[in-house]
Amino acid sequence: MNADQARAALRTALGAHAPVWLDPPILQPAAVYLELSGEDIRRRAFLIDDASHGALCLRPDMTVPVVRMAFDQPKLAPVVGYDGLVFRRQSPGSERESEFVQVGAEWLGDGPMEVATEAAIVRAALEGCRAAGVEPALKLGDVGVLAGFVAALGLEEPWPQRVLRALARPGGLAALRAEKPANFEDEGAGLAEALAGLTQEHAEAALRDMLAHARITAIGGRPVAEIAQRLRQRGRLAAAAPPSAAQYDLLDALTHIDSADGLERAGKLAESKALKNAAPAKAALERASARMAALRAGGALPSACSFAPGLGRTLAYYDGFVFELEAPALRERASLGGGGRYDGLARALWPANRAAPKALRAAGFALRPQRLAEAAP
Amino acid sequence: MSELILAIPSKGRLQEQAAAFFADCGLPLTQDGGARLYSARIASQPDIEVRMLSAGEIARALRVGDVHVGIVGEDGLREADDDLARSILVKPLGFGRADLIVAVPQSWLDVSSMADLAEVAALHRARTGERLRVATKYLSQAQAFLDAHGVADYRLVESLGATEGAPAAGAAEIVIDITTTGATLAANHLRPLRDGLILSSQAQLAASRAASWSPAAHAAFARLMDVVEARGRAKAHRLLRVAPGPEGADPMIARANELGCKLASAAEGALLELYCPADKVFVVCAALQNLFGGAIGVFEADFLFERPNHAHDAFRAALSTLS
Repeated sequence: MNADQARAALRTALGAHAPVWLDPPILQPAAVYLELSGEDIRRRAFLIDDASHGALCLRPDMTVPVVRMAFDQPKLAPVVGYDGLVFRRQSPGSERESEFVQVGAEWLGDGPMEVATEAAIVRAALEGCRAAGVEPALKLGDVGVLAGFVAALGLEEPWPQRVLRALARPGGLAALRAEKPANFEDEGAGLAEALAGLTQEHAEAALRDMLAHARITAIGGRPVAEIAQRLRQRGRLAAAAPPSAAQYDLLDALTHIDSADGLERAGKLAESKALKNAAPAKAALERASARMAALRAGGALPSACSFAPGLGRTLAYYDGFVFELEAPALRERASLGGGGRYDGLARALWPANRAAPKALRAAGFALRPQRLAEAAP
Repeated sequence: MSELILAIPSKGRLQEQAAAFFADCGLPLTQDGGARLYSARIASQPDIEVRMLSAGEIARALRVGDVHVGIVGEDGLREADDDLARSILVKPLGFGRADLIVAVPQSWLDVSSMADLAEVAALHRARTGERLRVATKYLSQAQAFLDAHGVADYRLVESLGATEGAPAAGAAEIVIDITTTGATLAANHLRPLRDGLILSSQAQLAASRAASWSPAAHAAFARLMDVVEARGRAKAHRLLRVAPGPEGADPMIARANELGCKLASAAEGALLELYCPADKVFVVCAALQNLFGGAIGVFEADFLFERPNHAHDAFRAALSTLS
């Protein structure tokens, strides 16, 4: 099967799920991606400066343009399909493609999404690969599991937020662990401890007085209330206990799980004494297990199937289940595609001038016919 | 036909300092008149053509290989040539010092470290729906530094003029910019973060990997570097003329060597000549006088030539390895 045949097979397979197909413009406003993905997009996408239109980019994915277009339709279609070229800058010498086709589908709507639907989305992606003649390896993850474990640590604010942010970047957890605890001699530490003892209202007033006495002009757009609140929080941070060594070890072990029995292993970690209140971790694992059971019941699971709770955590894209389909033989280009749940991203893409649905839900996947053709026996 | 093209800044304080540097090395620049206003020569170095370019132009010329070597601020070179992929820092020159730093509004009393900044950026995004805006001319170094420190929720705003004014003008929340004394920052109600030093920059003699390095170009650069190094070495040392004691020169030479001196000459019956690190002159004189209380004269040398030329050898080694 060549790439064109794989592409046609994917369209047919996904056509069974997506009644509406969208074809958004290749040129997209760069600002959308800069807001969503940050400055890193300059390294990953082809940006074009155009005097009359502002910065544009060649779309680095299909999901964002397709979801934006779907949200602009008078009536929100429940499933939209797409098939088009995307463009990514690659570092010199890389074997990865800088131009390739993505065929995929996105499930959009208002209200909660059942695990059965989530399982059906993964199954649709598997069917797509099989229609193109490839039996892929499936790697499943769930960003919610990680969040559940962090909640289960029972840390005082602001530690849970700090730990979540650290988990969202490669090497972040080790860096946070190595950080020196705040010291009373540190700049601002004394002020923080003093303000921590006041109510928010009093702390704010004290801070205002201080800024006025020191003749410091408040610039930079942050309300004094927020500065006061953070100082109080920092004062409490000095008081609030950081994660224990056992808790760091637990998170580290969790993010390193990637195996067929990954759910069971994560389940064992949920029994650890390092968790103060295991309930949120267990609830998240239950949902992940229910999803896996729904997939298994459909008889769709490939023989190579693993669960990796750390998957997708650095992408800042997904906030629920996430999965990747791979052909390990292709090495650096092993990824055949993937997807997951991205309610937060969808909310950010909803047009500002229209009332957003109460509980916007979004999930989907994109597959790469060229690699499928390469991987086909 | 010039074998080696050397670029130096064409205006401003860096131009004056670069011209003074070459004059101090005994290599005064003579500017060509008329149409070739922006080129110059060094009388004793006929193989070298000196081009006078703007600082930004020098960084670019080094990156693409239009010139072999140039005098350029490290901050600007790192920005124009990502990770110094196509240029080599040959010698720091000790002038044009400036720090590239992250600065926040003084009123942000809760922000003193990069870790604080990462949290405040996340809060800012949660509150306003927008990323924290960072005004800078140094886009690639700013991004690398912020990313390395886990600051995720930011957006760079390229500034062309007075970067420090951006927060007061409402065009950005914080800045990444160069500072020498910090006075301009303070005047704009900004202060640097404790761990926000990105680069301690100074003027560098830098070489291009992309230029065509003919054997003649190498020879011309080696001659130039011999003079530059000889001048630098002369300034860092003093020549001591020492009357040897009754036990001869050997014990004095041994003691001087222990203290970091080098023997220049030791002819039988003549004064002993030693090169001594400038900052150890008095220590060495005292030690030698303790051996024998004879007279010691201390002299400045104009040049102190010595092989091997380590700076030039290091450049040759760097050029022959892939970046």
